[in-house]
Amino acid sequence: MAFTGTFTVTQTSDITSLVVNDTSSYVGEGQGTFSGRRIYLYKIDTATLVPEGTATAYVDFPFSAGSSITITGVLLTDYSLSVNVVWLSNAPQPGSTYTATEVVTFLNYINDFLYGKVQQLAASPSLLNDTNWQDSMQIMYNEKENAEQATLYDDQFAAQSAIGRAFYLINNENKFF
Amino acid sequence: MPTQTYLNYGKISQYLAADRISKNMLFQGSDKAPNLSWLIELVRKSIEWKNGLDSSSDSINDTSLYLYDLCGRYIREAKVVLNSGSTGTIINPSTGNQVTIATPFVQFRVGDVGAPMTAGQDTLTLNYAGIINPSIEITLDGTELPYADNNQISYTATYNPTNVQIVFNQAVQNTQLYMIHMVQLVNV
Repeated sequence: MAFTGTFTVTQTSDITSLVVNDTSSYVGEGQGTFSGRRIYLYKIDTATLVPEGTATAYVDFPFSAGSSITITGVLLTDYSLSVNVVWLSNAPQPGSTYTATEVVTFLNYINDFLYGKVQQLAASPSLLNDTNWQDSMQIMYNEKENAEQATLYDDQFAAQSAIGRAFYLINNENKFF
Repeated sequence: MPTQTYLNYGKISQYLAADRISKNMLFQGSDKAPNLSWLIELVRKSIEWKNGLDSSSDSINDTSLYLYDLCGRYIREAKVVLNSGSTGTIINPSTGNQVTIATPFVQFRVGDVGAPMTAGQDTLTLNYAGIINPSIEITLDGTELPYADNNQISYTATYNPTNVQIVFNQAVQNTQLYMIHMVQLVNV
């Protein structure tokens, strides 16, 4: 059976971290036929994200780590990333696929900002009377939704653009809220 | 109340509010709270996010209560929607009352003691309320009788709120066996 590399990305309660889970089947080609796995986290400018102190452009994902690896301290802001996992085969087989790529968007900082505003609203419902406040919240929320929708279509650039627009409001909070 | 319950109320109320806003905008050109559906969605999704990240956060209770407050008038309907998956209800479209369905059955042999008809009679009144019109089926000695057919023995039925009156086109005779089936809506 041909090998097809697959993976998923999840998050933990630490919003600077992400978890990559290798969901590939190794029935046809056992793990012993591979020398390793590499994870590339591409930003839209093709630069890669790696934890501080990493000398390579990728994160090493050795088979000794098991089927999942937690990459900590890389998400210091929200990103839409093209996550590419490469399986290094010692004996590549015709018909097998040793690379897989997914667009994954992380919005925890925007969500955290929005939740903070919801907390303010719960404490002071009259904030809704401030049309500027409400308009800005709608824009923020729409941009978050835009980023999520763009991700569904694997449009990393559109997702990152939406994040950028949302962060303009966050970084200029005093003007908009 | 568990956070998930608040979130479920929020999901349903969001759509109920959107439905109301759409109707008001269409038929009245305005709505008193045109952003309510959006606001419920925003608050609900924010709580979902926080609850997924850290369900032990103290702030979730306050924001959930605010969500409940936003849902306001839709809570009652949301509760009905949430419960609809477990037990269904039947509504009588004529009265709007909640009902159950019963299937009364009457069987008698003319001439027997206690039979509701005696030989020579042609009218039978069955005192059952809420009989569905038409639902009566009558068999005579095992053969189903047609409705209002003057070429043979047949019957007509008048459905009243509290009874059904059956009139045969021929008088009944001793030893005839009648079996009458019907469907009834019974108020709960």
